[in-house]
Amino acid sequence: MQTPHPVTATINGREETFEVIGLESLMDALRNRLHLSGTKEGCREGECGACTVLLDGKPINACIFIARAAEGREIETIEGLQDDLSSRIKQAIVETSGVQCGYCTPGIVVMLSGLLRRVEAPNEALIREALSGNICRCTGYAQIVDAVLDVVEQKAAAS
Amino acid sequence: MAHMDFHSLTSLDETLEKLAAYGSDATLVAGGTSARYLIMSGQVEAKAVLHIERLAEFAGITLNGGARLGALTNMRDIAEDTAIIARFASLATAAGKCGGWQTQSIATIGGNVCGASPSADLIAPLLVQDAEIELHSQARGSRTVALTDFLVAAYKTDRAADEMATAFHLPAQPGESADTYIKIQRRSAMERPIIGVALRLALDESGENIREVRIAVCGAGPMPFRASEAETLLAGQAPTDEAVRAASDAIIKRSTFRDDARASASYRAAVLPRAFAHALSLCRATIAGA
Ligand SMILES: Cc1cc2nc3c(=O)[nH]c(=O)nc-3n(C[C@@H](O)[C@@H](O)[C@H](O)COP(=O)(O)OP(=O)(O)OC[C@H]3O[C@@H](n4cnc5c(N)ncnc54)[C@H](O)[C@@H]3O)c2cc1C
Ligand code: FES
Ligand code: FES
Repeated sequence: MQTPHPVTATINGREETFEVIGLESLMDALRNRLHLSGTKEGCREGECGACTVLLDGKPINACIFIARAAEGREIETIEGLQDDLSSRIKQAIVETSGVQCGYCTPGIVVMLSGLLRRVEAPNEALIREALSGNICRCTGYAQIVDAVLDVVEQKAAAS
Repeated sequence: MAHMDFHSLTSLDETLEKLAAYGSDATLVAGGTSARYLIMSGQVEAKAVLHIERLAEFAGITLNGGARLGALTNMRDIAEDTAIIARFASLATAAGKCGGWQTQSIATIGGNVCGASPSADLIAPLLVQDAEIELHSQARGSRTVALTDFLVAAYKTDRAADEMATAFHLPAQPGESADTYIKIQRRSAMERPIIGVALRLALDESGENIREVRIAVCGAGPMPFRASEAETLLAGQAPTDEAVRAASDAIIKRSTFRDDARASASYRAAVLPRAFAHALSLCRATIAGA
């Protein structure tokens, strides 16, 4: 039998300690142990991006990341992304109808927050490349890309 | 599942000590993007998992005429590195095509090569740089091996159970040369290669004749390989249609194609010469434009 093992990490700015078993994924730990169900479960194999979270600021697939490897690190999930930039991304996705069933949306917002924090004004090609690991079955991506371009435009107008 | 020790390590000494103690009972886990699945599915039996992703001293790129890439450098960092893009374009391209950005942020070059998967995208680009891999063990210190010798067969390398790969060494690229990686896949992202062709081309002073060409192919045999026969045929030649066709035939002769879920053997055989010719013309255009 595997014994549970405690992991301590900063989750959305708060230090949390939770127990995990073996090579349990960060996604399962977030959803089932910390009840942060905004991180969605799609494929469980790194293909769909529904489980995207930020690890020390970088987008990763939480479903294939070993929870114990998160010890001492900083994780941001969709629940924690309340800053101005993330809020603008969410608002723009709503305004462009970039949400249909919504299952992919948390992962996409996390991915885009990671992108726009690092790259001031990505062009369409880069936005599409950054989103290549996020599958959306409903929208066909065009509206989501438009939403990001709107945010980039707003940023340029404001500065 | 049986009990499994888990150690998250932060120094080389500590890692080598654990590797020496556990021997073949240990499995190294870098990004874990392959290793976690292999262990969870029972394909790899690990009594101890040694998590090495935090060995910060082995993550990063240093330039020294050529380049040294720490074995824990992740794919995204390779894909975005301006010096790698300028000098070793094939490697940057391949790294930027290994899964989504979320996978690339944690998947490492060391894991890609040491996993020795027949479809590992970084192997062909490293082979055309004549890259070497450096390994460390507690008992024997460090050693450096040519990548061609390190890769023994599919999923099999020359790594001893007590060794960890620490770095890849890329020699300075020949002047007047360019390299590229063509990955044939059905979608533009999120696919393993059906065929991959990495090529480095150097032209002579006239800019007309091939001084040296290095060709590595993935998806056309049990492991990626250097197409040395084709390389010899083209050395010193002008890249006429006829010479390119002869080289292409030599690559095909060396290849074995298989049907699998991604593509048929006949598709692979048909697409490889085109990918090769395309790689050659891209490199010529880069050199002409430089
Ligand atoms: C969604 C998805 C898409 C993918 N797409 C691609 C693709 O298109 N092309 C491709 O090539 N790959 C692809 N992969 C495979 C990907 O896992 C590897 O390419 C990745 O580079 C492995 O790196 P890692 O750090 O995660 O290795 P790990 O999973 O940690 O390790 C892999 C193997 O290498 C060994 N190892 C790791 N580091 C060292 C070291 N320093 N010294 C000695 N041994 C070591 C481990 O013991 C293990 O056997 C994909 C994976 C996923 C999940
Ligand atoms: S659930 Fe993680 S990528 Fe699909
Ligand atoms: S909105 Fe339904 S999957 Fe994207």
